[in-house]
Amino acid sequence: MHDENEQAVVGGEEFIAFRVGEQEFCVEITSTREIRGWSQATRLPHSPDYIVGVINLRGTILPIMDLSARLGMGMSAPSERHVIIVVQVRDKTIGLLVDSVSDILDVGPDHLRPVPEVSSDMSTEMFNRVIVLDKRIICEICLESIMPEQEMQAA
Amino acid sequence: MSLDDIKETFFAECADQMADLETGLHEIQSDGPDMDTVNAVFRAVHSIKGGAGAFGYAALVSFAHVFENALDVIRNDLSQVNEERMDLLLRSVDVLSDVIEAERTGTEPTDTTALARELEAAFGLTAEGEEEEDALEDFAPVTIDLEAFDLDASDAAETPSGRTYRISFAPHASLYLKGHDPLRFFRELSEMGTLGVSCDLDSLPKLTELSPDESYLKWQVDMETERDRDEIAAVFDWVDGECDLTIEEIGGGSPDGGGEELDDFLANLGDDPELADIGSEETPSGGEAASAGAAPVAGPDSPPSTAPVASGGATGDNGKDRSGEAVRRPEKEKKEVKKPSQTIRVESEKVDRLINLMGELVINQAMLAERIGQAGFGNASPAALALVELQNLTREIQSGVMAIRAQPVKPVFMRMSRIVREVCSATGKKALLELEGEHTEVDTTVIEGLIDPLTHMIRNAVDHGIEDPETRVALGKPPQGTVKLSAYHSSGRIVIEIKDDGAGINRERVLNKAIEKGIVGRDAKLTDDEIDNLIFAPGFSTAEAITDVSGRGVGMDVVRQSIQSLGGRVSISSEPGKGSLFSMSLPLTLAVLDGMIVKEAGQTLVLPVSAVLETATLKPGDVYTIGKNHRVVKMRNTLIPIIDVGRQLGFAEQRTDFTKGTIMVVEGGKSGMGAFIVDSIEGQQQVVIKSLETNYKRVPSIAAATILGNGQIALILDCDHIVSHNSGEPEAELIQSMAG
Repeated sequence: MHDENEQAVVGGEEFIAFRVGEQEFCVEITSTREIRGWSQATRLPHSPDYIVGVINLRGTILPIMDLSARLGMGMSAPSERHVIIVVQVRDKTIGLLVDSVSDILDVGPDHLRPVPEVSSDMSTEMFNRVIVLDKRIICEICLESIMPEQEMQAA
Repeated sequence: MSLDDIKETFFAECADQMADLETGLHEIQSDGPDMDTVNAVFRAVHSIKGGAGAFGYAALVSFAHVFENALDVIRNDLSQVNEERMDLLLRSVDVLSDVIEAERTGTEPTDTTALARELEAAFGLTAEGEEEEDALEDFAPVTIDLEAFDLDASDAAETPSGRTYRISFAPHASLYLKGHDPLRFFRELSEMGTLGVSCDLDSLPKLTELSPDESYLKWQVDMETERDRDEIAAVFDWVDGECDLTIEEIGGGSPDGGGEELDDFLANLGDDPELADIGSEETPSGGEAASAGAAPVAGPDSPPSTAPVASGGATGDNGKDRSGEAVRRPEKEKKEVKKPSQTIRVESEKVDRLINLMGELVINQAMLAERIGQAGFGNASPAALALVELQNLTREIQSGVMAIRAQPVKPVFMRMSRIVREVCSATGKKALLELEGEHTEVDTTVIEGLIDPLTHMIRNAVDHGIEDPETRVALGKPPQGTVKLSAYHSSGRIVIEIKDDGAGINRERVLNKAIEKGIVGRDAKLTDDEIDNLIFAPGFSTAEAITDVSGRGVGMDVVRQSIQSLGGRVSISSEPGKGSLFSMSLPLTLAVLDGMIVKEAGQTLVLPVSAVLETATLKPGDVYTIGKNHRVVKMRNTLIPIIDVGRQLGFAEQRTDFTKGTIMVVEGGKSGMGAFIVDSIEGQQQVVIKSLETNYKRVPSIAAATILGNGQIALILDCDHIVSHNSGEPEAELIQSMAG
């Protein structure tokens, strides 16, 4: 998978951009499996608040993560208008609950910046890079570090 | 098929052979040697050696060779078996399995020289074997060594029981495709006697027409040996169907029907000018060989001395009369040799996929049932009746699919005998493993999960349970302890028991240790049973000193956990001085379970039916409060703590009215019972177990998830965990640790 990504750098990378609250974020299109509407999730006990629950994705148990809550921006109140982006992180598949999908971006290397060290806030660790396009600033989510396991191991 | 695939097949076959080998040796150990078993054991080692040779696994070949020679000693004389030798053979099985594993994983093979020397010493194998090997280095398959047949009769007379066979061997292309090398067979044969090999190049086309994928060469081997036909056939056992093979006895022993065929063959040989031509050109002494071979056929009563004999005579055997044995060899054995396998090898992923699809079918059927119910058709409507048909079919297909993955627990059980041997040699104890019900079948997923806990318990049984031989004798017990491992089916589950006749649990020591470690209070009053079960407490180990065997940082609590993660329960009962009995009850499969569907706090939850003892509704007087928040219900003269499931899982506030819900008395392993209170019971149905760990992680109190008929996910409760972690409060510290 990494090889694919590295190859993509040559010609420019593709991202799915989406809105969470007032901000725009994105993930690499190569990790995205599908985008689907919100459906009622089954709550999981003993789980962090950003895990909304699990839904049935054609027979697979898919955990849903509230990205807003995960990034420390408050819990979403999921509605019909919300969207689930199904992403693959290593061997796991997880759904990210976001407000809406906004764009598909094809970004050349000159628009990709490292994450600025704005603060010691841990949320910056959840970003890989920042895409700067005209007046838009879009943070690329680091899928590996938002996964629940990562946090469990750190705890 | 790539080479890796072929190697994989070889190792899979090795595993089978190892199982046969171990089973056979155990039979010999318990029932004494009989020729069938000894032959089966020999064949197993032989096949492994053969396959290993084809892949160039030198370490494996050389050890298997010594092993085989040792077995050959027994094969030649059953009375050669004694306890010491059996022990050595069993140890060789362990080492052989190590060497196979090393070859499989490509790691440095274990050093086998010490054991090989021991085998050679114990079985009186001399360096002769090695010389034989050396001689083989120069062996060339196309050598035409028919001059040997001209040797005079006096030489042959020295080996009166020798016979001559003519083997024609024409490999098919598939033989090469599977990585076999004809040279190997000739090597094999040359160990059994003396050979004259000629290569038939008739069908070899011109170089321009030659296709490298085809097999053109055929060989004719004239062999002088003391072995019988079956043994020669056994060399070609594992290329059965991949070559044309005829073995005719052309001299010595008692001539059989082969004689006439040979006559025909020789006649044809003479008639065919081309063949004759080749005979003179390519195989100068071919004609002589034929006539030499024909001689004994012409006179069936002529003594074997006229049989052609190569210089040096037969190797290996020391001229034991084998005729008696040959008579005893029943027809059955011949069948075993030639019987084609009635099984197929299937990649486990294919079966797993089938089982997943089966799960989807079960879910879809539940959906259909729900829709038909919603549509308001009556129970007698054609739609409802068709659904019943479908349900019956589904259940049948399901059990069929499950049966594919069901396997006898035998391989795991056989592995345990090795554990017993290892522990015995490390501790100087004597113990015998008895197996019972090893043909009981369980799903492979369960079998895999069984290995670790079983290994640990067996190790414990010998290390902690069985006493030293001296102590045992002093106690009036036989010096050799017995560990009995048994399996049987009971009400849809498999029960596995480990019983030893050792010292039993030293309750005083266990209790002191538990007090010392702060597991129980100093003034605790515990029943014998409760004390016994303390060994399952986390962090508990009774070993006085950390021995080589135990003290590997794993305690019985881990055993219990791994059994619980399989959806099983384990319990112990012990009688001081008489021994202990560990009993495990496990589901037959990890793919589906019979679930009790309940509603609580708006959530649909599933409880395994096997855990539910009874259901009831409560009257106001049934509930007693103990302390601040603990409520118990009195049922059948026992006080059972009430577990507010919704509260415990953090789905709802503490309920105040206990008469509004339904109580389900649930057995939570050895932590006792719990009275789960839920809003209502919806029904009972078969559910497909879906792991939460695949995409998420293990969630406390939840065993797994399932998909209901309406497409929604329901959680399957981990009853053991809920009962043992019942505090009347939601698991606050757990929630915190995860959020933090």
